[in-house]
Amino acid sequence: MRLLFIRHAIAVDADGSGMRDEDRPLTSEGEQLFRQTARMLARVAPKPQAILTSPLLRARQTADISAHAWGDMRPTVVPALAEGDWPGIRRALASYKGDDTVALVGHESWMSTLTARLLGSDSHRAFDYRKGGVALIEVDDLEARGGTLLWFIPPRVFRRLE
Amino acid sequence: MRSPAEAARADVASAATTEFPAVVGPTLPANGGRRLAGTLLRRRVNTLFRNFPAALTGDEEGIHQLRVSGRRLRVALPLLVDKADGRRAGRARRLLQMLTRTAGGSRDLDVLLESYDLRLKDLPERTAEQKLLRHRLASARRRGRARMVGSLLDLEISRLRRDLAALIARGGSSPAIVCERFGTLCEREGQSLHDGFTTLGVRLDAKLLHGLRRRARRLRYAVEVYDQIRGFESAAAKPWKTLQDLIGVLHDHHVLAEWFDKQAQADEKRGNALLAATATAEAAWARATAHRLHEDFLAAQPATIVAQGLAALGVTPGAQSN
Repeated sequence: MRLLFIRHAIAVDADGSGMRDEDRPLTSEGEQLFRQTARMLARVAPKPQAILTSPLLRARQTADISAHAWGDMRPTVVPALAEGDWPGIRRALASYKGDDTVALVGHESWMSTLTARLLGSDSHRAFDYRKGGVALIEVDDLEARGGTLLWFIPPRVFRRLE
Repeated sequence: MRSPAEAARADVASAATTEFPAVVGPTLPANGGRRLAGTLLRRRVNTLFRNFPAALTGDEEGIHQLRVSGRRLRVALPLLVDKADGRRAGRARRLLQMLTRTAGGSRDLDVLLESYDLRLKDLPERTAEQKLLRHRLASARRRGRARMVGSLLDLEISRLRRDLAALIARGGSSPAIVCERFGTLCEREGQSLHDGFTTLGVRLDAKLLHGLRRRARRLRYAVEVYDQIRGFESAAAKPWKTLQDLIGVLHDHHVLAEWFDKQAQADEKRGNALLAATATAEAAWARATAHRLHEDFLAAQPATIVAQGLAALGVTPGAQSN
């Protein structure tokens, strides 16, 4: 199975906005920048069988932009992606086949921690996802720690490719 | 910077001379009390989840705050929620216990390393063996953090969030029920603390002391909830905090001594006599420090602190509730 990790794009700051964390939307700049990223992403990444997203607004908006870039896709909200609850994420992935690609839209810090774990590394700080950053990982077994990192791309590289 | 021993001695001096104020009678909010309990619960839940991302990066302060906020919530939950014996509340408490235990292993190693660093700082010169032992302790901490981060990912944290959200949505218990539950908890924990210190006497039993420390912490966090429900800061949490601090620093040195003992045994098996001797000497230092801290602890008259703390809560040891 291939897992396409997508960190949400730039969102309104938590401090001073007075909003609940789960209600923070993407900024207009964040939306615009991620549209560019998503266009390139749709060209370089395999079209996923599903886009699973955290229920937090900024992640759902990011998932919607990605879905639009691939065309004709509808993200599915998975509560476990809010905090990186791995048993919950595994359950959500259980219905997909070995050769499927599934996009997971979520947050730091669990994305870098989970990426490190899937690749069998203890250096969870080695994979620092920027907002709008993307990685593609191939895993034979979700329980095993022997995945392969196919690529790890910061958003600014994507935008320069355009 | 003060060494742990110096800090503990200063605490002892202050504890020995402190009169802990009594709790003023409850002034319960006339209305909106259920909402207040719900709000207090929500605040604690928000604090817990705010600390989660930092802990997942292995950040020392993040791990500590996650553990502390998890413990506070575990104590507050059965006091504040409606249907405290219900399925959801029980599951949330179990998940919180797993969360605080998971964060605990790594945090304990942080504290051990901190204590050993203070010891090495006071030495005019460090031997190569001491440097190696420190390096091993730091490596154990690094491995502990990596394990902890992996284990945090394995927790059903979204189920915990769901359960807590459902408990908050019910709106919490009425202040009268919170006070009744608080009274029951004070009597149970207070009696155990009283009995524990009576049984212990002047003995240094690190395991028993650690158990008593946990009870003191539970009482302290419960008083915090009770004070917030009444909108009044009673300072009745202070004696429990004092006990917690005094026993904590003592316990850290005891655990450090055990860690050095294990290193000494392992090095002896490997045939590394010099390193084994150094580890044995460091274990002796840690044990001697624990004994000195225990003497300081006894000088602070823990039984008196417990009696004052219980009096402040209106609990009379020996008077069992029905």
